[in-house]
Amino acid sequence: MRDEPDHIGIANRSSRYSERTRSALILMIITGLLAAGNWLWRWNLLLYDLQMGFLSKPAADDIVIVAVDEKSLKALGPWPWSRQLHAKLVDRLTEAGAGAIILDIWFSEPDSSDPESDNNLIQSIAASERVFMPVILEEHRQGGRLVESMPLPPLSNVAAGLGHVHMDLDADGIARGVFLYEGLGQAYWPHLMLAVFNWVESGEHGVRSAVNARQTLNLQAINRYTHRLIPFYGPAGHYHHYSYNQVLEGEFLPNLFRDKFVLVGVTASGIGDALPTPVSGHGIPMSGVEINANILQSLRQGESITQVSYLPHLLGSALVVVLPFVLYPYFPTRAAPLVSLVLLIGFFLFTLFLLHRVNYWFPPTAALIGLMLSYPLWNWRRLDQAVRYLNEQLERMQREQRLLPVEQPPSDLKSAMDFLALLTPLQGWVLYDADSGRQLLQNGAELGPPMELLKTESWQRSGAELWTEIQRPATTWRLGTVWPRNDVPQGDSLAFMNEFASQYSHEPETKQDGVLERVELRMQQMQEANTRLQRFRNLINNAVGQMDDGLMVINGVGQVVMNNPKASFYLGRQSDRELLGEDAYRLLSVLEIEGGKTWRNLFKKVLLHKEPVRFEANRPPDTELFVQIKPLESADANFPGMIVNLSYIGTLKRSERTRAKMLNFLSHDIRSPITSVLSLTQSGQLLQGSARDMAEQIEPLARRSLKLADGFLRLARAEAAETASFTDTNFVEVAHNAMDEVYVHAKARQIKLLRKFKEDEIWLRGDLALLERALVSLLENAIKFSPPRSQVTMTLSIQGGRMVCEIADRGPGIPERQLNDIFLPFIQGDSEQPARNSGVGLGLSFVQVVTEKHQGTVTAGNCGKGGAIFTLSLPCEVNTPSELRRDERDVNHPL
Amino acid sequence: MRIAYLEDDKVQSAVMKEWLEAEGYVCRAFDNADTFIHELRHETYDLLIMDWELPEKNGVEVLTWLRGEREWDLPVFFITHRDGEADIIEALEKGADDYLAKPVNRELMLARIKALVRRHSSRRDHIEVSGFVLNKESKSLSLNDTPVDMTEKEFQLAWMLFTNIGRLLSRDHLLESIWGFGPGLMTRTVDTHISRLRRKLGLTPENGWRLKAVYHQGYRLEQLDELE
Repeated sequence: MRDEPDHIGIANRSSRYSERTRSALILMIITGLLAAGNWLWRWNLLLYDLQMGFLSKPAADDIVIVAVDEKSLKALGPWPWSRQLHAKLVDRLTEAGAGAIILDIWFSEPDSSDPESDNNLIQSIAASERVFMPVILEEHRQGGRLVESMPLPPLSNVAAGLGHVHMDLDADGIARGVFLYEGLGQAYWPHLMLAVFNWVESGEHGVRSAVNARQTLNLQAINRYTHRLIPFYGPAGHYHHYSYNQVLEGEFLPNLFRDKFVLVGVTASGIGDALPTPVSGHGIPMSGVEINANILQSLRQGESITQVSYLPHLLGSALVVVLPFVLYPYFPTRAAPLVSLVLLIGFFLFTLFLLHRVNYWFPPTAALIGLMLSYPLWNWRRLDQAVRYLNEQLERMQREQRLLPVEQPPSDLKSAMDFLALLTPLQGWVLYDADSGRQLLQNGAELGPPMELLKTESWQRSGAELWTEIQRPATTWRLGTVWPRNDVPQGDSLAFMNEFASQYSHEPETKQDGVLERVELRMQQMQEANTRLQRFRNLINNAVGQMDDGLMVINGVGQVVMNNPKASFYLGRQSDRELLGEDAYRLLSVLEIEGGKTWRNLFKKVLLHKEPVRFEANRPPDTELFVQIKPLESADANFPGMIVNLSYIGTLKRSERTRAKMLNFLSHDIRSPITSVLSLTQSGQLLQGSARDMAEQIEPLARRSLKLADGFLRLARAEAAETASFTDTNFVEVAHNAMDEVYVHAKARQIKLLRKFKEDEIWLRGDLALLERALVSLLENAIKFSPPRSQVTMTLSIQGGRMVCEIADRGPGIPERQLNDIFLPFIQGDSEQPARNSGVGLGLSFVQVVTEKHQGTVTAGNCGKGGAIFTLSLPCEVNTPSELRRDERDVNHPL
Repeated sequence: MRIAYLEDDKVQSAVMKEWLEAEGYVCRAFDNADTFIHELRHETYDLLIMDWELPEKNGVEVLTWLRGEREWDLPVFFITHRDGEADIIEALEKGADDYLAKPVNRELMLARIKALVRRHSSRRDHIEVSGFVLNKESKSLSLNDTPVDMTEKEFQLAWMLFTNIGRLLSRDHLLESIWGFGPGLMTRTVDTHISRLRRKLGLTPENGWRLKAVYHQGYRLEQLDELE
């Protein structure tokens, strides 16, 4: 019993571990699917935009925008403008010492109305040597074919570099990133800003190679790679803006554009390529030129953001959600939600750190959802596991046999009632469901309609019928019984009937409002099962406790784990509690084993070799026990140890010894006179003599045989005497009778019998015949050992509530060493001197048995002036009964 | 005097017959109950002596038949090996007048038989025995010419005992005839009076008397001279 919790604990722990792993795996898969399916893009983007909007950084000073804004349009007329203006702007900026001029304006077709302007522009750009121009990739032109629109070839040839300006719009139509390389068929165009950056950093011209590459391929698809997210440094208008016409007019400080990157582009609404961005949203779109400014700054500061690619993202997300399952066991259960919350926030902060410090964007939503799910999932799994465990345990308990009537179905009542009919004159019975009034079972004689009862749990009589109500878990039984009219149970039988009924009584199940939750239901069932177990344990304890044998269970390390009170008693202890946990070896060592065995070897035999042992042992002085030790070998108990059974065999041993002595005695004392008689019949001398001689020889032998037989019989009768048959006896009368009985015998030996009776009447409960015989035995014994002409005295008195009878003779007395065992049966006297006992055969044993039967004692001793004295002491009545006093009145007032 | 003797032990039967006939009694011995009963139906006897253990019908059954069916007020003397208290009580309750355990002492048996027979022939008002003189009329008792002071109940008890010397008197009988109680009441009363009589009259072996309680069934006053 004791190891049970541990046992469960181990099983639980291992299965909890695997449950944890299983939960982690499930969550990994869910998170992996979330990450892989990219269903959460909107949430990822939302998070991205949010953190992007919160963090504003200063715009780079060396990036300046020359904007084709509303103001310029007003001043210079409607768009598009003459390329003369652009040429002039380029000249102006070149003059002002701009580091690079990015002309984010589209020149894909020649200006047919003013060819001269094209030439001017070409000349200006060529002269500037620092002008970059965009290549436009368009998808929906010329019947769905993809088209790359480069600036006019003459322009392209003189530009410092070309690059695409294709923004990669996300699914929500917001521009967040670009591909650094992109192209039709093959990604040969660097982004315009990358082209500028490369030119500034290494003086590289990306144009030539791009053009060559373009001629070799003719594919329909846009190819691109190296996606970068743009860390927007601020909302639209974050960079230094100068109106186109203002610059064209030269209205700026001389060093304003020196060594600066000048981006020229349209910002005016309606004609430009403004796009919504994370920092602007749909409300205030950001113009392409400003986006490019952000791209350029990010490239130059090395802050362009790389989105973590598909597989690492998937794996990363999936791995992150394992964390809580690793951590949960280290924290108390109630801290688990906190752990997952901390992990959630921590992971989000980590992604922010990645974004802003390492410039990697890890879309966190999948992992965050995974983390959020971890606690409920884990909880769910655990709860499920707990419920499953409860179910298993309950099922196991259900399978255990239901031995107590409380747990049995009504059908079992039949056998119980049959049993009742065995013990009582039950004639018939019927069982109703008290709630529905339906008859459930019926047997034997018919009964009347169910009786209305006032109280449950006790039987009520109605004629020859007894009715009771028994509370059951879900209902109430009404049980009726019919009896013979003159033998309806009363007193003890009725008490038994009440016990019988109460065995079936069961607390009604607590009815709760609504439907119980499954777990609660299970818990309730578990509680019931526990109660049942407790009840069963009580039953076992009770049963074991009431056994006549001592029972002790010892575990594999030699400690007592269970014992009944009898075991403690046999081992010389007082209470049964104190044995628990005690060292069994020391405890059992108080028993001396017969036959030279040692406890060590016996334990070894039982525990090591799994062999049961049986032997006799003795706890000094006189507790003789039969000991059985068996190893505990239960299939599933997993509990090494042994059961010790101690049976008291003192009575058995005593009668065994008595029998042995008796056999000894029979073989000698009884046989010898008979064999003598047989010898006589064969004696030639006697056979030829007279019959009288023969008779004289035979008589004493026959008398001796008879006397022995009588002695045996008397002893047997005395031993069988029952206190219940004792009657009111006047011991004085008994003494008189005994003295009268031996008178003739005494007279023959010239021995005087003296009666010193101090009371007229001494009343006690006893067997008159046995007491008289006992006194006669003592007197005969005294007479036998008295020298002729001496006297035997019997003294009667009441001392301390006891009758004391002393019989004294003037004989030689009793040798000291015989005093102790003179009353033992079949004790043979030693050869030198005839034993005091042997003369009366079994007389003194008989005396002792009789006195013991009367709760008295008999002792032998020697009186000072020689002679033996036997003292008989019996409990007696001290007060003179009232009846006698009335007789005394008779004496005083004769009728 | 005619005695019918039921005994299956041939040796015992022969010895008893010899002793009884030597005393001048007419004794017929039977070795089985049926012949015995048959004989009793046709012949009259003054005393029956029975053994307990017999082959077919035992002594007690014969006694039951006798006391029940025939309603004979015939003295019955049991002589048997069975000497347990329960056996003796059973025999006495079933209607035996006296009881003796084997082995039988010749003198004791003859004394008992005399006592049994004597009661049935004596109807006296005056008794003189060994110095005791009892007069029923004057309700007086004297020992060696000295009157003994005693209550009426004591005298009645003494009278009962002295008119039935050697015979077993059941306690219930004594209670009924002296005190008039129903049987089984005040059991100590008789014992107490017996004790008192013993003391007052000196009924001890030294004086040649023995007043013996026979289990819890009754009392017997014996004269030792008669036994010796």
